[in-house]
Amino acid sequence: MNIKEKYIIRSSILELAETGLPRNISIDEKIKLEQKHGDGAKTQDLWNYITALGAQLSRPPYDPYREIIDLDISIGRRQCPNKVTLSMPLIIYDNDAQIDNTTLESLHSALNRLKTFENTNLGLISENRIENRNYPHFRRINKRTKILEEKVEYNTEGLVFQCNDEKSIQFLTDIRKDFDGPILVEVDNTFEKYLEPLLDAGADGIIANTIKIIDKSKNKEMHAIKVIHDIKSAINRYYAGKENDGTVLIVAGDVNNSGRIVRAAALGADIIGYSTSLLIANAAHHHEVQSDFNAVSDRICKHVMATKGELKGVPAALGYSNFYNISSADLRTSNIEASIQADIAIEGTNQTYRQIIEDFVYKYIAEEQLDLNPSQKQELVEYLLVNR
Amino acid sequence: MSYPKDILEIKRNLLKEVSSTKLVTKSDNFNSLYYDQSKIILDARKAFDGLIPYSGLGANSTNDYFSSIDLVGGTLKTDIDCRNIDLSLSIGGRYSNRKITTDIPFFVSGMSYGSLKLPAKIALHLALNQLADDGIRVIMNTGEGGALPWEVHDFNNGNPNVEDQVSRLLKEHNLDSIDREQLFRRKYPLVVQYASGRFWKDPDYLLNADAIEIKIGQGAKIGHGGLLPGSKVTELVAENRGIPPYKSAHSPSRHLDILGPEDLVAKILELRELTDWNVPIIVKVGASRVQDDIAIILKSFADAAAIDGYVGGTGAAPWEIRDSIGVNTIPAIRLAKDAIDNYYSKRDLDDFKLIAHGGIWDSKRIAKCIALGSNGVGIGTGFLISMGCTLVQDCYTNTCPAGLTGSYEKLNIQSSVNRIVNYIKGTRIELQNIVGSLGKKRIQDLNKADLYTTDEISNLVSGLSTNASSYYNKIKNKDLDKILRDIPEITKK
Repeated sequence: MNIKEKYIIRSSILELAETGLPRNISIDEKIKLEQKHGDGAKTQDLWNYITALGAQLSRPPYDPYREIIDLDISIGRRQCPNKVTLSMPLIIYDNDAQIDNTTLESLHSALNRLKTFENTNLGLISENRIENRNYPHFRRINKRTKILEEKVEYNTEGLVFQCNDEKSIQFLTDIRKDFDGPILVEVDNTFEKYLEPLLDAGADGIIANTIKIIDKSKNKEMHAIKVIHDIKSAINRYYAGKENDGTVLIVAGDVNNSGRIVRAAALGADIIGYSTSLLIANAAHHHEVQSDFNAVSDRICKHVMATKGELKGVPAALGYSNFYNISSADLRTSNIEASIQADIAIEGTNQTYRQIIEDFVYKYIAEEQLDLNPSQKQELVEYLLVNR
Repeated sequence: MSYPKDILEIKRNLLKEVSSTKLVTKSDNFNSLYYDQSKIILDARKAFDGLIPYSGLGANSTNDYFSSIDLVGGTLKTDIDCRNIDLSLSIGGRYSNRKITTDIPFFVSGMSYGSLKLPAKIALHLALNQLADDGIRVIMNTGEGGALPWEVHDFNNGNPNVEDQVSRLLKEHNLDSIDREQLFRRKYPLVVQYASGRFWKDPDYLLNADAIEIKIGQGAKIGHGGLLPGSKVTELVAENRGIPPYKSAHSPSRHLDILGPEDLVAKILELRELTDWNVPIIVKVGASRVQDDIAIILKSFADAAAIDGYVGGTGAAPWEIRDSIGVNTIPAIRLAKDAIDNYYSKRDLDDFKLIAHGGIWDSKRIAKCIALGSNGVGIGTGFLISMGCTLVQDCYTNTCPAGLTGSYEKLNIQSSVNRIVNYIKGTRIELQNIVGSLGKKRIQDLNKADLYTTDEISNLVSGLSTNASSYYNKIKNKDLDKILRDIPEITKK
């Protein structure tokens, strides 16, 4: 409901309330006219068309104020001796860019305070070396040769690097022998090619920045929900028939509020590379005349704790005591494109759009008595999915 | 919404940063910013006070389908005399000895004292009394915050505590001049809510009700429980609810004694015994796992089920809970009707009724819901708008510009009464015209054949069509050989 729709609803009801007489035109007819002639084109951000199914009678909800809702997550596969545990599914993500010193100081202070006073362990991904911290730091490696040749002290709980070529696999293999904390690998649109070798070489987690992947991809119609869905599917294929031994999917980009965090988690993200804390710090330091880093770190702490409260509230309302039990089966969409991109069931049907089309095609083939092989059936399904 | 200066400054700086940084890039594909600007105020609020942001009223649904579904005919104005069209609705009789019968199929949804200020509650009460005098009975639902004394007690009840409470309530709002004898004369059917917070003071609340609604959840905060912010829990509200004043009232997210289907049956039987099996019992759920929930309600000893869609309103809900959870009203009705049809495919029909809530504001929407399968609808926000609500969604604060949900703005009770009466009478005439112009005598005769949709997604969610003919044409209009790559293998048996 946008502002124009609010105006229509209000004016229409007030017309009735003032006259008590039938109107000429209903609320829906006015809204339709507005959609046809006005500039109120519906937003196509697919996040806004996805909701989750809450718990009621068939599944009782938990109570986030009175019961424990588990947000803890461990990073590190079976072979990783020094795993890192976060208190919530967020790791502050640097967007592969240098963080300003003032911003870094505020973030550092906030993360220390969160750990000390709120018992909340949040991670930070950045290129900087950071001393005197009591939170886990994941150091981004941009110069690989320097790390290997100089054998520098890592002084970090985890490592992060980009994978975009064959050399990345070799680098991971080399560094894995040397480093006993979790290693996270940031992939791009070539993830299908490198995912398996990366996991074979001992990557503990895959970072997917949806904005970067979409920008590099040929498919510009792709939305973040499809990126998450596709990478999670690729990870699941790697573990087909086996239990996931702790590989985490970290999704960054376009996931910047609690609602999207929950939707992304349901689609397969384990942790969110969260830049909003960075944004809050940058906004203060770049645009306030007198920005005090203590005050800014206080803001970051408050924002994180409120977000933590929200992240406990949603799974509880869905009937889960553990945030990580949310799955795509808990989601419904009111948009066909969202259903196609991320295999989400359409509300009111309990079927994805693809399943609806497949049902139709099988019925059509039977009625028309066509003798098609499976690939031809699939071709027909794809034709209907594309030509909507 | 009027926010403190500090919050606005944080918001302004966030916006500046958003528009200047690489962190957020404009997406050409989806005509939107990666950083959802509508949520920027939430980040500013969280950074300012560290609290979970609340909002009032319902979720801002991106697609509620109402404008894509229409009646095949059915006009708001007609030359046909439709005054005898039957709009009545009765609830009860499936298990209860009594029924409540109303003259219109829509009623006042649960909006409790505390969530609404006293003058708004009195305006609704007086308006429904006036309508009853005019021969139009309309149901009022108390909401979960308990009933006001005049809703459940007689004028001469002989209880000095009640008289004292009434005096203090009226005095606080400078309403001493109201005729108390008239105030205590309730002429409309009252449904009282039995919610997880158990906010009532004495058994009269249940014993003097015309129907009881067991509230499992509501559309705006499914699975979250009720919430009344501390700033709205004045001493009188606290007294009426039996809770400490000025402390937020978080009612549990679930009834502590209803964890599954058997517990619901036990609870309903308990209430049935308490009320000598007289009053109808309704079970209300927020729309999510609708088929499963309605199937459970059907198998309990309930007389009716109420479903509250995603857009269903509230006085206060955590913003992200409100926007992240739920199913829209149209698909919710479809799923509920499917569950009901499935249940009665194996047994004889009885008096089970389905009530829909959430985003239903006028006669066309009421008719659409009934044609889809609900028997009646609940309206909340529509009544607030008729009293002057400006939809700023500040219901959780004490800054309501219309003086409905809390503020020092004074509500004109008489004007509000007139507007509520007009809203109901006007909607009633429109409904009669719609039903009459469709050639039907009773609103309950509306069915899915009276509806059509204008887009594919609305067809799918409402179940009005499978879209099969459209898909069929897409294939038929093309040469199948061109669609399929493996041309030689296509053979017709």
